[in-house]
Amino acid sequence: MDDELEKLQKKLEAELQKASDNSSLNQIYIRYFGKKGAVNRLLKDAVAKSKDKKSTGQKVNAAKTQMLSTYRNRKQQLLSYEETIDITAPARNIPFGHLHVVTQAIAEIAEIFKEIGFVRKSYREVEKDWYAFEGLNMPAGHPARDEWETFFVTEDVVLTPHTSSGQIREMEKGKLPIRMINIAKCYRRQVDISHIPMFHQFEGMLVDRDVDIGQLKGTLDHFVKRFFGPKRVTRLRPFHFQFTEPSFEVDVTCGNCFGRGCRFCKSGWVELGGAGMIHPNVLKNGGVDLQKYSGFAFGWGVERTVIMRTDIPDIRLLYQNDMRFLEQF
Amino acid sequence: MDIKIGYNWLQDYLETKATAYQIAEKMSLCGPSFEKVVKDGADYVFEVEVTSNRPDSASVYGIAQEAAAILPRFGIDARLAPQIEKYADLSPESRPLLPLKVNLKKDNFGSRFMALVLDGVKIAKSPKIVQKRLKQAGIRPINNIVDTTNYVMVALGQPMHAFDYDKISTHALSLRESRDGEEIVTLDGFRRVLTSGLVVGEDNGKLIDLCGVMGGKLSEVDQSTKRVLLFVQTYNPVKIRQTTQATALRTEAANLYEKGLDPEKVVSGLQMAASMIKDLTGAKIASEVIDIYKDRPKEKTVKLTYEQVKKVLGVEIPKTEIKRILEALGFKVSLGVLELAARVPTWRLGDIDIPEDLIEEIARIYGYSKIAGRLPSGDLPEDQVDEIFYWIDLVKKSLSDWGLSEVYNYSLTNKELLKACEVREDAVTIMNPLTQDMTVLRTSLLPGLLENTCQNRVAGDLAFFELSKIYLPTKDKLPEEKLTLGIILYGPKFDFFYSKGVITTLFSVLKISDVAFEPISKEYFSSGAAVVAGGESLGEIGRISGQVADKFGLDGKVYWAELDFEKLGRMARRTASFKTIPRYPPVVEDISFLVDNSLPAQKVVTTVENASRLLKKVTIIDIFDGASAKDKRSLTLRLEFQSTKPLKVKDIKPEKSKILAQLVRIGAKIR
Repeated sequence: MDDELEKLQKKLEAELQKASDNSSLNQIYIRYFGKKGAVNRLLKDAVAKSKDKKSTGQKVNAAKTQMLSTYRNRKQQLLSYEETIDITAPARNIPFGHLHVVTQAIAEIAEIFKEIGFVRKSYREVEKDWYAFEGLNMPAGHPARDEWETFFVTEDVVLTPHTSSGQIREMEKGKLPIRMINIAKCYRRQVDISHIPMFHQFEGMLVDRDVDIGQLKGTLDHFVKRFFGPKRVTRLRPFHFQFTEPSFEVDVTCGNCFGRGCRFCKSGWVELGGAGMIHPNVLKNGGVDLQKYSGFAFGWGVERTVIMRTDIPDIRLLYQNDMRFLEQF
Repeated sequence: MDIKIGYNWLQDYLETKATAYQIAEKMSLCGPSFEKVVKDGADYVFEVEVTSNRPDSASVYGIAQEAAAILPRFGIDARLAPQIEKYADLSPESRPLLPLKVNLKKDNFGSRFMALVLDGVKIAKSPKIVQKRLKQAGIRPINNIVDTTNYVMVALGQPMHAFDYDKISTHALSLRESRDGEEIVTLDGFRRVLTSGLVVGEDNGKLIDLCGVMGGKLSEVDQSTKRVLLFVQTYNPVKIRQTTQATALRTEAANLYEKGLDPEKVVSGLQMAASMIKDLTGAKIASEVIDIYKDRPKEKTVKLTYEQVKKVLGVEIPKTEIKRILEALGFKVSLGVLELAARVPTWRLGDIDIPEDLIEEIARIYGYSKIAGRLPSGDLPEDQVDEIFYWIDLVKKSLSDWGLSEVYNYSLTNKELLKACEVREDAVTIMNPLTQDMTVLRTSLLPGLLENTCQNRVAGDLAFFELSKIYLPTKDKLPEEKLTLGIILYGPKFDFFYSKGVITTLFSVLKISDVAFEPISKEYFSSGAAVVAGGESLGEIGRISGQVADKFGLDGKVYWAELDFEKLGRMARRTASFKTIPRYPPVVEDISFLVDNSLPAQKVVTTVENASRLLKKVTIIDIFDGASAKDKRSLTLRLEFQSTKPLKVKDIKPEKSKILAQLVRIGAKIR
């Protein structure tokens, strides 16, 4: 029996040496020390055949203890093994695509206005002249129409040159108050380093009781602080749109000098977009009760804000879809 | 309207010590936008953007008027110096009087026409200061007569024209509408063919003036001119716009006339021009002054309540200050208890109509910077959230997370490109395209994405998607704008089943179950499937035909999928309903068998699924094409049997027999 014990011990040691992972070790444990394992079988056998059952049992159990110790040492050794790998070798590629930089800007803009309760809406891109111009206080033949070089589908159907064509569509729904943001494609017949025939504008509109210029300012300030940074502010300057009265141009403080003036901005301010209190004719055309309600609207180009933040030198790059451009964002 | 005026010239009308930069800065805050201040020796040139509703500001005097109202608000002393009063006298100075008439064929040409003749003109170059100021304004100096008309136009915002009196045989200005096909040679030397209805000046059958836009060469003032006919007027803006649209000829004068000018300024313009010509050339007024002034502007008074002002500004301005502001702008104001009445000056009759117009005047001069910003505190709109935006964001994010990159293609394309891709050519057409490659609205996302692939084809594996609209003509006025998802895959990494995987995983993200793929045949597919769910076709997926791919220089396999995103959005779900987790583990068994290649894999699966009710899941885990028999392939299915009680071998055996029987029935050979 002593021989058998020694043989078993040697076998265990050999297997333990060969074992290279925890899973193999666990299997060795079951094979040797499990209920039906080799040690228990040996014990049962030896005790059955032995004359001095007590001392045989003790001998086997002593050997078992020693073997367990050998096992545990090996396990300890294996579990605390530290491997050497070249950690500077390249990582494997996990799939990683790119959302277009304009999509990212739109998502951010929508989120900023969602924070103050502006619900995202969408409307037609191919629209009737009424919604794009006439209803916005620009009757046929009005020189103000020249300011947008418009694509025509028929005499009175256009590709909308501005998101303002959604204003009357929204008011017509008859649900007040209105707090909406429309971010959509617009079209103008113009191509150069800072203009493309298809671009995006975002337009916000609020129609409610007792709406004033201060609330417009507050809304615009909220946007620039969240989009450009907490130290940025807006200012309003007089301008003219047919569909707002008063009308404004909106500036934001320069990101470089924060309003002091520098070689980038000269005056300390950078033009952002346009805004105004909705013209009563427009409210009327939308079926809104002028006695009770008024509103403001604001809007500007999405690509412009993207370029302000990324320094893309030529707007046409945005829709050329070169992978070397797309993968930068 | 962009105008350029000199700082020194401005000081002819504006008494102020303000520097050019100060003027530019303060004016931009309360009035027209001073875009640039350019140093010009000891002088400066302002580049000002005057909005189209304020033609009264589009002149040196107009800017001076605004400055006199605005600069004092910043503590800068500024006063209007009304120089034009100096030129009051227009009585004739030489006898006999030269004949002069103005005949208007129709009465809708304009509200005021004035004319007179000056004799003894000596044509010469204008004085240096006149030339300098004209150049600052972007106008080329020609001679003292022409320069005078331009000088007055820039100074007062009143355009006018000077004719050589002796070249007009009838000594009359006869204005009528043009006839279709009539010709005129304008001062720039171009012969122009006119359409009917444009206001023209005629002398004995010949056209001598394209009214309000450009004079005619026949009556041109040149070196030999001795007598000048000065013609100053306000034209009907609609008629002048008709001319500029028809001839595509835009001039400074037309720009002003189109906006509608103040008829009261006509006389100032005439006075200033006549006086200037007398000074510069020694000429004398040699005719009576003609003044046809019908439709004198009616006096307009606009009423405004203080409550209204407060409501729009959010701030209360004392009524005395309101009065001060409006009167500085030329309004005559009487203050009542609850409201004020403001009489509109003649030069603002074109743009002041409603109380809101007055509010703008008050607010801008008061100063927008004085109004504090605060967030709107009204009620939020009742929930009308459109779920589609959620789905758009989710799908875009998922696709980009899986390695696809998003592109934006122009909605405008051309018929040739649509044809090359074998997609719908019947498209919404643009009447006035900008370029020949953008003449219609796209009917499919495929052409754009094929171009993107072609353009980037050296960049290795390409995976692009676009989620935006296609435009389909309808029998109504407005086309259908369909939100569509297009996905294109190109490169050795991809095959049909990869692209199928993108689609099926996308449907899992949208929680749309039971997606099926049914064979479909399209001109641009070499093999394709319709994507079907909920009994509806949601789109298609397939491999682009070699012919189409070749047109784009793509010699590898191109995989394409296009889905109707609105339909997807309607079927998508945000939450799933909970399915009880089985208490007992499933019994899993694999079976392999040979089937004909022509038997669709899905049919095999469905047959097996229908064979046993204990089957929870049947998955194809292997398809082996290199089977021993020709036209046959080997399928291995993993069967998961599940019950609410623990399953024993004796439960599974009869189910397996049923399954095997059904498989044999469809021609499978079990291994």
